[in-house]
Amino acid sequence: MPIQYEKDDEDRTTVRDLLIALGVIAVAVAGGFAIIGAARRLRQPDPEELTDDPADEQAITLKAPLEIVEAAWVEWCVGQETLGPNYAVRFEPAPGARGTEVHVVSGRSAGSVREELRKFKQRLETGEIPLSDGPGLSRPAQPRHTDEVKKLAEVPR
Amino acid sequence: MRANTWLGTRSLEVQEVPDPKILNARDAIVRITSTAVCGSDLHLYNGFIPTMKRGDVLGHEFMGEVVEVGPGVNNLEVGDRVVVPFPIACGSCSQCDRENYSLCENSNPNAWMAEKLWGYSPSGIFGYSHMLGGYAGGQAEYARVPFADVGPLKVPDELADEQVLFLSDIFPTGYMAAEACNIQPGDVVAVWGCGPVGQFAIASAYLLGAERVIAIDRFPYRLQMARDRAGAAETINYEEVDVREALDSLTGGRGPDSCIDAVGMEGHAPGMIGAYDKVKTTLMLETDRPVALRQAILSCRSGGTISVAGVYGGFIDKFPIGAIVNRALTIRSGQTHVHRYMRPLLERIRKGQIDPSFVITHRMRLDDAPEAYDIFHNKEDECLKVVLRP
Repeated sequence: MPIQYEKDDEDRTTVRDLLIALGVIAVAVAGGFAIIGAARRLRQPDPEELTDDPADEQAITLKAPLEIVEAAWVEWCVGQETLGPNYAVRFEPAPGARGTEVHVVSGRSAGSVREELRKFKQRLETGEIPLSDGPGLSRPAQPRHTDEVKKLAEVPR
Repeated sequence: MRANTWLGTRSLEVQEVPDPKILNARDAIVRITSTAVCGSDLHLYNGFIPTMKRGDVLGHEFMGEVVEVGPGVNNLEVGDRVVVPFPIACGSCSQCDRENYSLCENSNPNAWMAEKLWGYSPSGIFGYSHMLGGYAGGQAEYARVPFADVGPLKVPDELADEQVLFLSDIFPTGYMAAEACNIQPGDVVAVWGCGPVGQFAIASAYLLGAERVIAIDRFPYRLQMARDRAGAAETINYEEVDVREALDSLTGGRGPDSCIDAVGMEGHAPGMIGAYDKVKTTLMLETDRPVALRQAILSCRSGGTISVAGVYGGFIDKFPIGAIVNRALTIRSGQTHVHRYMRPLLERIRKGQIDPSFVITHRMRLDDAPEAYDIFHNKEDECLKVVLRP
């Protein structure tokens, strides 16, 4: 037997649909703000604002024995400015032969310390710090002009 | 050199850009002989992937001839003919040790961006946003290949470009999706999406011993290729029949043992659920439209596996976690660890077990890249896979 729809049901359905639509719009606005906020957090850290924001401990694990990591760290830190003059570093063997954990507490921002640790890891594990064709969001991902390459080649690390 | 550049959503231009240079000791420069447009390039084209910038060179499926190597590259020589895997991997970190090359810990110079969105960063990828490294892509005359001593695979001269080009991405991607299903004798595998990755997932499921593969799409020409070339036993047009009912019937009420989502973030569905996701993504309430993924989860047999090969980028809604928990489903996914699969799949090609060129429907010039994207996006002219030649 075919299902019979009555007019009252249709009216109730219309009101319900309207309420659902209003709810969706309200949530949409809130969600939009949330996503815009997340997008803003994707911008490049500003070095000026970083210095006023003391970081918690940052850590990274390198695939190398503790003594090699410690020695490499000493060499790496010669002349470095990212971590500032007053920072604490701790080395611990990672469990299960996973290498060595490097823990750093610094007065500098979490983002800048983390980037420094990442570069240290890249240099130790791969022998180089891989360069993007377009660093950050400041320029397109396209090959660099020759003068920029020359300038990069003059950077010590 | 000429390169296909991203100018904004659905706006591309082939223009002159500087030639690539060696920037790191382990770089190589490749003169590109063949490059392809990937379904995941459409996510960039359609503006679904954040951190793209006007002028970015697109393309992550390419091959060519080595024309320059950095001092740290000892296994390649000028003149070598190579296929380049789309993830960039250092070969020496813990993830590379585990052959999880798309999770390389060292190859993304902009890892901090990916960490904001995903918690930790995967590897860098050619031509796929600044969040994934800001590396120039391969839809160009030349490309710089970082960690060139790890990624590029030398290919024999007797195999044509079109037979080996897809080792760069879509063949390993389809294969890894099928491998993730842990296929056992008698298994039935369902594949959502009969684009190039779906076609290779179907073919790979058979290579790995599937009893039957059921292919799902809405375009008759794609379903026909799934039957005639990839070997699907049955096909389902989701605009004509209810997919879950059809799968239930085709599997004797069990559901497929494994379900492969080869659709990803821009899924399409008829009716209310399709409209729901369109509205949600338009209002930025979700970033991806997981219509195929939801259907795959609900269709899979209890205790089965969902293998997600389609690319998702952000956040989804109405995810049926209840079905996953209460029916003990396993979800496996990941960007493809291409390096892991290139050599064994090259061997399969050499032995004649598969000729990946069957997916190619269009051959065009690099200068026609914007038109290629347009017809691929709109599924015009029965387009499935475009190969571009610089």
